[in-house]
Amino acid sequence: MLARIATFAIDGIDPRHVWVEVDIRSGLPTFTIVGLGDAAVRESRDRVRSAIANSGFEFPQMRITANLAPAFLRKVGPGFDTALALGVLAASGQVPAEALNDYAVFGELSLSGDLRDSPGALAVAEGARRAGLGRLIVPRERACEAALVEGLEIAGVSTLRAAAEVLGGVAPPPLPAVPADPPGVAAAAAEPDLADIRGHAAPLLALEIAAAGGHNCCSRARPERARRCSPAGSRRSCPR
Amino acid sequence: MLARRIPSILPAMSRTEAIEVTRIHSIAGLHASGLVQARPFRAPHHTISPSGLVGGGAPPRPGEATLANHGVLFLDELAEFQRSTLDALRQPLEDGCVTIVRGQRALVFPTRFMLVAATNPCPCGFAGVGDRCRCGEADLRRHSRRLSGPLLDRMDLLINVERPTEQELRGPAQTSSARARERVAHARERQRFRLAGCAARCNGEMDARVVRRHVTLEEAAERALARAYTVGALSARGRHRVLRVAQTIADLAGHGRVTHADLLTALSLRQRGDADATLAA
Repeated sequence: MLARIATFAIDGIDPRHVWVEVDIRSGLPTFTIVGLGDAAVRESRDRVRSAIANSGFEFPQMRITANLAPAFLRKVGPGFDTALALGVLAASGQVPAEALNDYAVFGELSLSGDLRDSPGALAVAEGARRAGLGRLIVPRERACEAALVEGLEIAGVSTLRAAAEVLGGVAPPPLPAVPADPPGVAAAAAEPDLADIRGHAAPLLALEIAAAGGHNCCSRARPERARRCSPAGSRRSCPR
Repeated sequence: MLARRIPSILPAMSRTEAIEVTRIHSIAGLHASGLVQARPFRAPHHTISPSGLVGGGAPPRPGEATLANHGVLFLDELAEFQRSTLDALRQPLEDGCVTIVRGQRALVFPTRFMLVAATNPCPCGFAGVGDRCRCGEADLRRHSRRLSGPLLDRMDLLINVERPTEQELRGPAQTSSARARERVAHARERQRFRLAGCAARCNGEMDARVVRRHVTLEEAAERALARAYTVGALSARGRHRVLRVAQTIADLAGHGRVTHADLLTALSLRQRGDADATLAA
């Protein structure tokens, strides 16, 4: 049986649409991942196998082939784990395959079946919206970040079991609360302050001008005053 | 350390800018969760490689210049960076983005940052302090050669930092970040109003055409600039940069047109080979 699920690869800093296709046939029990993945994607096999077993599902003892399409695009990192696992579960009938149509899935799995914090969730969410998908499953730690993209329903889940339940129709858990601090203020309070500076009138002015106009600036420590005390007649800026 | 205080006076990011920064920092694994609020401040060590600075590797990853997008890239001890590293920064500085090509793939990373650099007067750092400097002529030449590269050409402000006097050290603070931030925000507001519809968002991003269209000088300022240029105290590129800085000074002071005093301040903050520009004017 065949299942297809959407996820995103991060190419530089841009999301690229990737389909995870999982096919399960009778034959010798193997699990192959094709589609130009790096070492982390190859190792994904073992994580997916253990995560499925440890989440109370059954890992099918059949011939499993997973393809990450398009095959020319190099796939990097462990962010495909959850999509691969849900693909295997859908292809073996343990989660409803038709529920996958509107979802994108992103996140690394641990052997215990937990979704681990994975970098790049915001880029994935932007990709999902651009691809016209309505819902996105991400690790719970990244839910707030993914929710910055408007017009997308985010399910922040912490286990593979919870992700499967969301696909089965259970309402996703509410987004964790964002620590609300007013922009700039809290961060600015912790920063070093210009009030600590004594003297340096010209550099302070230059700094303010640079910040006001977005100008590049270069400062050189050059004690002009002291230089005048250097041996008379020396044209070198640096007397020996 | 002066440069480390720049983030405390920079204006807050717009939501679009904040989302772009969050996306890049999230991919680089630098960011916990939610929206990044503070402008980035990146201060890489001078042993950094060219690809570490502008991006690269296999697969290509963004470098410090991209991580500093919409923020500050601070290069301390500028003269200690490899020449090739600094040269790699030239095109990203000019274009606001860098195209990394590896094999069949080309990736574009945004690099709209404010470059802040600091350097010592000589390798040992004691030039001018009594007779403590132990640098030879060759060391000094090597040091100044690294600095006088095309990178300095791309600096709008070149300032000499002098040792503060004893009285100054005991005196009161001249300003605070809160007050400076307010003035900066006000000046940015004027720029946004004037540059509406341009690609440039602040004076530092104005190209020659925008400068010609939007920067107007009072007559005395016009004459002073003409004199500084005619006597050869300014290069053509230097003149363009002085105009941009003068406009920012006028924005800070709330002047509609660049006054004579604004222009002289701008000239005095460009102390390079054209150090005598102020005198000439």
